[in-house]
Amino acid sequence: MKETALREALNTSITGCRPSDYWKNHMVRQIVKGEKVKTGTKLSWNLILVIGLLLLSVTAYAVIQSVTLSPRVDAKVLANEALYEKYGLTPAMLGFFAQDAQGKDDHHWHVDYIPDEGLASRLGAYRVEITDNHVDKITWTNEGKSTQGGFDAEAWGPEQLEEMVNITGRTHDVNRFYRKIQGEDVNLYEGMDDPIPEETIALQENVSEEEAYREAMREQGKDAEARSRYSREELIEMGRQGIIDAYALSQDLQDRLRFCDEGVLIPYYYQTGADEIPAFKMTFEIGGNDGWKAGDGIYTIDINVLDGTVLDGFRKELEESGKDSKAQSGYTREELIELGHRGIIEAYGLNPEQQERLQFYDTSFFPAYYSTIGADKKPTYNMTFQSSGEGGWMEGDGVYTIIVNVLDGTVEYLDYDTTLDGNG
Amino acid sequence: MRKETLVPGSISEEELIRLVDTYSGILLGVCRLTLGDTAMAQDIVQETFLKAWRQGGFRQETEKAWLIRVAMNLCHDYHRSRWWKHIDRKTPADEIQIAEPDPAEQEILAMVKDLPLRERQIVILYFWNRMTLSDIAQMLGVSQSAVFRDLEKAKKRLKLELEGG
Repeated sequence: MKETALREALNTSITGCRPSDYWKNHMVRQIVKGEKVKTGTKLSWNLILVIGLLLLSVTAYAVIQSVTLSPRVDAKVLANEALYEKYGLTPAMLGFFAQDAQGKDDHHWHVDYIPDEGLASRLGAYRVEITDNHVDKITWTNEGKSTQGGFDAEAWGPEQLEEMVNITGRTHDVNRFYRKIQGEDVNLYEGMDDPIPEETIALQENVSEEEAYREAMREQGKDAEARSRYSREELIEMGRQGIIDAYALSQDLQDRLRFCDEGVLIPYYYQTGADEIPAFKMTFEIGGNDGWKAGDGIYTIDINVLDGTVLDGFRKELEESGKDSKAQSGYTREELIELGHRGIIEAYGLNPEQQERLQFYDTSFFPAYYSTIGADKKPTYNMTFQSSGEGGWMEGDGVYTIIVNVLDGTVEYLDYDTTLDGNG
Repeated sequence: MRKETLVPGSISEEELIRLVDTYSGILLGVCRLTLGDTAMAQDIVQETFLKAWRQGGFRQETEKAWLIRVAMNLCHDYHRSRWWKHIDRKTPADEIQIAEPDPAEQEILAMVKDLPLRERQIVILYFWNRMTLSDIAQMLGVSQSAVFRDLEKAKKRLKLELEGG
């Protein structure tokens, strides 16, 4: 199926729905008068699994690192990983704790995992201390206490937490654990044979699927690193050269090309494709404090760690389909980026501060590529610029898409979408 | 050129009417395609505008993004509850006009409707609403890896051929 056919079918279905004026007016009257609007039954969620899913979602951002997170979220991601490494605590288990990240500054953080008061004596609290994105120390208030003997143990560690996830998922009852801790003679497994609620199955599947995906990615990464025939330093140099060659960077741009090794832009090993090719993904940045220049931006590159070749199947397909447009272009790539940058600034009237935050992106999620537009297939260069920066969301921040005609440099298409504040 | 504007502060009745007039059609279309049920789609659209009215305005999203996000998440909640599948509810013919797609489009839409709910939502947001993966993740409240994975699965199910532009 062609992508355009899919888009058109979706558009026909969605825009072809036309409510009558009667229905619209009736709805407005109901809302304004505060009359009850007919709705379906709300679902009651398993809060603990939902918390676990949220924790997992935050952690999973570290796996595909194309989103810039705040330092607070970085710390939370690292802390989740650290607890998993040391104690085997999964996001579902951590759903019994409230997570709180406190930082002295952007470099020093501690992340606390605090259970509800009624469970605290057995579950204890965890703290992960982080400096410059490295875990310094992990502590557990029940360290040293015995966790043997199931739920009769003086401390409940990963074994008990896993069982709590299992029991709670089936029964939706956490109170039995409070009663147990208070000394009641309670059957913690009561109701385990009852049918599992559908919404719990769906949630458990979701969490299990996420956990399994995360674990699989972690194992893949370790395996890829073990199979690598190159050192990390060699791979970084290959990545740098790969970007220089792919984009024919000028000497000035080469000098400003900086390897990223912090926050969510840190490199990582993974495996890709049906053949499970082990690879190393890296991010480089061009940009400085002297104002935006053509070519400034974020670049990612993936290297096959067995033979050192550049992996970029998606980009290769784009390049193949856009090669005619590239051949016809009357501008260099840097000139097209400059046209795109200027086009956005002029079209949206960005002030100097907003211009400073505007950055060109050429990553696997935001690739820049040659293409065509319209029935007459004008050759174009499609670009994405993203505006963001320190101080949280500002007016003008968001993702800009601009398509420039490579024959005469005119702007064929512009789009702007705001993004949510990414701070946690 | 299009620039979405933010609407800070509370909304008036006039503003509510404008939102309903502007967006009720596409919200109905999105919900109907997501759930496959016109009557339920109507309920969700009503609840979405009710939230907009109670919320008192939009903060850091465009109004369209906010409305679609709320509607999508309500679709997800309702889908999981399942109860509505047992209720035979019909939409009066004079309430909504629905344009019939041609046979080729019907075939494509049938494939989309066969996708699991989350993949269906992502396909709609990615291909029709032209959203980025990170924006879809934020909109649906899931991880970007989950969006990426579900989109890839959907593409395979739809046997989607990659195009250059």
